[in-house]
Amino acid sequence: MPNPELLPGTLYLLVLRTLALGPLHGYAIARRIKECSGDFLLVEEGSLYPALNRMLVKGWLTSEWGVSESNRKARFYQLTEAGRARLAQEDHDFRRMVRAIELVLDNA
Amino acid sequence: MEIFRKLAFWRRRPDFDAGLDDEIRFHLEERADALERGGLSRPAALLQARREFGGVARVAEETRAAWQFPWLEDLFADLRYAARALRREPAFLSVAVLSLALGIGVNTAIFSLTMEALMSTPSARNPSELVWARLGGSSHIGPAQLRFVQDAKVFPGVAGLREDGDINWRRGDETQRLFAMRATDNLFAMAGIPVYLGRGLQAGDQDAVVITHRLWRGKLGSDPGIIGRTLILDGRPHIVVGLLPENHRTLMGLGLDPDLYAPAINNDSLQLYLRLPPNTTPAAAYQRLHAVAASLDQAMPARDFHYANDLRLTRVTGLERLTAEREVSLFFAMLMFVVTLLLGIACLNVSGLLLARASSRAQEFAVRASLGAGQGRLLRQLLTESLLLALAGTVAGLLLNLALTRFISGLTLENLPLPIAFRISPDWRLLGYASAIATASAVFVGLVPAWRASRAKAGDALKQGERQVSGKLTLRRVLVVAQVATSILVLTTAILFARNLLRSVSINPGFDLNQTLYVSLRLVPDRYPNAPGRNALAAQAGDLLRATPGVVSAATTGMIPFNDDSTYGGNLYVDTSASPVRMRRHVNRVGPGYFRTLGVPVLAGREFVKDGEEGAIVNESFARLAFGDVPPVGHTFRYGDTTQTIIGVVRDSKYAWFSDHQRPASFTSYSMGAGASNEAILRFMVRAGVHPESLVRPLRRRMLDVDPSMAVEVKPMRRATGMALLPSRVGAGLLGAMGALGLALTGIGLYGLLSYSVARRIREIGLRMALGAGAGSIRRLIFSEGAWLVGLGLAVGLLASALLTRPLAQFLVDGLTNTDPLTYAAVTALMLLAGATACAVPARRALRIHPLEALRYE
Repeated sequence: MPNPELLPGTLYLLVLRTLALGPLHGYAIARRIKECSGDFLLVEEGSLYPALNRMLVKGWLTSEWGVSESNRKARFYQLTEAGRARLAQEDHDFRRMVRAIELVLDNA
Repeated sequence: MEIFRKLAFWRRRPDFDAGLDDEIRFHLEERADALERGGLSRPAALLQARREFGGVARVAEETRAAWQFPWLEDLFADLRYAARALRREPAFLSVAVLSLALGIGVNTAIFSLTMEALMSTPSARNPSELVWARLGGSSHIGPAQLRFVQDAKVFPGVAGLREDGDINWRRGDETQRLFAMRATDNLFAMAGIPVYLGRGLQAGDQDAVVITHRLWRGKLGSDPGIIGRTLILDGRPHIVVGLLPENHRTLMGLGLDPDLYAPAINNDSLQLYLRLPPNTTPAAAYQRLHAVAASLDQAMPARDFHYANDLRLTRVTGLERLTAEREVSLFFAMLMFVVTLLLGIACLNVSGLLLARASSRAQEFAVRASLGAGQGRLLRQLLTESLLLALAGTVAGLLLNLALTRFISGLTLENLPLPIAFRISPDWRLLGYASAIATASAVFVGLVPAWRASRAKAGDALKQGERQVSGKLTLRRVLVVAQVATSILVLTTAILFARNLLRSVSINPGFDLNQTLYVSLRLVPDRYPNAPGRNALAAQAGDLLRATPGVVSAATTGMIPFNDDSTYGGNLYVDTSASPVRMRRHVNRVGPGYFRTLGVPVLAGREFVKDGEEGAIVNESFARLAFGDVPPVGHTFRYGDTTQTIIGVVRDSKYAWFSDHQRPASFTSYSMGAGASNEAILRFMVRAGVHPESLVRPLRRRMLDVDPSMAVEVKPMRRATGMALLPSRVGAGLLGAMGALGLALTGIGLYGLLSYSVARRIREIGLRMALGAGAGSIRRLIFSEGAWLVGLGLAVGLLASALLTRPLAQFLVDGLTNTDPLTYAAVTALMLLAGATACAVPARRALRIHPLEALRYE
């Protein structure tokens, strides 16, 4: 049974990482996260689109209209320099946090 | 920056909304494609995709929220809601806004007046660098000393200015006295005084003047070709070289409004103005000045006087000037205090109204709370409403302010020795103050109702508002009591001043006001350059006055009572005691028959019999303070190097102010000096055997016959008390208006509370009537509630008044204290009357209640 609840604060990190390889539209972002997590993580549409727009406001992403593989008009999101820097930061912080939690779980 | 991206969003919001729809549709279709591939039919796949997506509208809303300013949107929503809520209750709205507008309008008008009177910035370049310097504690110094300070070259600018210079303007057959400022020729350049037309005074100007806008418009017909025109001043043609702008303000401030600036005359003593280098600290400026003053002491030693002692530097702008004008500042401080109280009453009124409204809206709030509105959200709603009220009140109040200040600016104060006018225009200080006041009022007005609302329990309120019985001291009643108490304080102040005015007008000043006149002759100094010439003129004019039919007697004097004043302090040595006596005494020089002319009894010894006589006359208070029980005639007193033998004792009288009380005074024999400005005025007191008004024209004509170049003023003493009455008059006028306003506001507050209370007690009253209560007992019910509140407020207010009005004592004539029983009785009576009026209408309404209807009322 996949767990739809993301750890708090990780949605930005996942979206940033997903976009690191190149521009994607919203549906593809959700699908990519689902596939890459082995169908474990489900991103709710209800939180994806507000998050994408908050990231636009913060200047981590830009967006433009393009055409999808299915030949439909779609909105593609792309990382900015600030977005890339943010990804590096969040990636680093998150891994450190996970290692620290693991250490506690293994040794305490 | 996020905020810019957000702001940019608002421009293309329609695009965004369309784009968001497209994006969501795209998402749904992609998902449906995937589901279709999994084997669903197209319609089923689309349905499933939509179900998975959740509420499309909610997602769109939350996505848009990323771009919005939530608190701002909430504020707008609150404001819209508040505006709608207030519009629904026009009666409440108008009473609340009117109360606030009156409170804020009067408050800011007094603020504007105070700022203009005390804090106005002189018309000058970088006025904050300009200081008024006093050497040796004296306000003026001689021209030689001024030149010495200039030549020391330690200050970037040194100039002199003198404020009490009269100048005679000959215009056809008329000679008028104009009020001139005498300035050194560098003053305009040094201070950088802006000129509207022409130029300022400059080096080498002899017979040149710069005139003010007031003189130009008032007496020169706004002549556009005024520059270069000639005015005959003090017997010589003077060229008008400059015209000052309408908003010109002198370096001396306090609303002084001269007619013109003329070059200082050679032997005039002047106030010393310095320009300091930018950013000089007061200590550094003081040190510089001290060095100059010390070398001045060496260069021009004076006996018993050191220029370097008691040095004072006062900036011509800002707060520092207030310390130089203590009495005036105190008067305005009192006005500000009273208008703050007034605003407080207005706020209490609105607060009470809001409370009443809040309790009738308790159900609305309960519903909103049970629908999920947070406590904070409801509080914010209430505060927004009071903010909106305060804003509306402030806007209306500022309109009132403009009307009031315009009225004040148009006033000319009559019968003053110096021309004074206040030209008030709205400025940033007023705006800042008004915003502060609006915020403070909003908080003050909204706080109590909001606090009350925050304690209300949703469940209680939903159960049909509680029905109040009686007697309890609810919050609203506390507010009304506070209101009554505050307006008692305002009323007490107002009535004290009114009583003071009445008493001043009817008070016996110790001399005869009804049968006396003064005659003042301002000479052209050049015509009478020395003392013998002036004394000869004095003798000739005095003889002519005495020879005029209807005149009983006439005497020369250095000062006209209630118009001039001079005080000496310092130690006094008397021959009956070794230790010095310290007293501040009024001093004057008077001619033979002065006391007889004024009707002041000589208690011992005699008056002067000729001018220039040796000896001194003192009054009772002087004699008591200096000699105790010893009869003083024949004894001597000494101050500095001067020793005087006392030849007579006269009864105490008023000298400069109606509030003079047992003020010591000493008089020496009259003789004229040869000074240029203030000593070029010859003054007489005249006693009339006929009605004094009938003597004004003949006396004037006779004096002009002596020398038509003199500026002659003749006035019965009855009309010459303007200056002395000014504090009482201004105080009584302003404070009387405020007292009435405060009383009216309080009446409205009380009325509002009682009507509300009647409305809530309809059932109870109906029941009482049904059980046989008569009209009398119902009326008693209402009146006793009002009486309770008024009584409590009265007690608190009277006590507070007795304590807080103590500083007013110095404005009051003797015999009148700040605890004057008649004043307190009048205040009590007025408040009771206002209270009874406020009770009468609700009581009538209570009597009209029909028992059956009231019992059905729900």
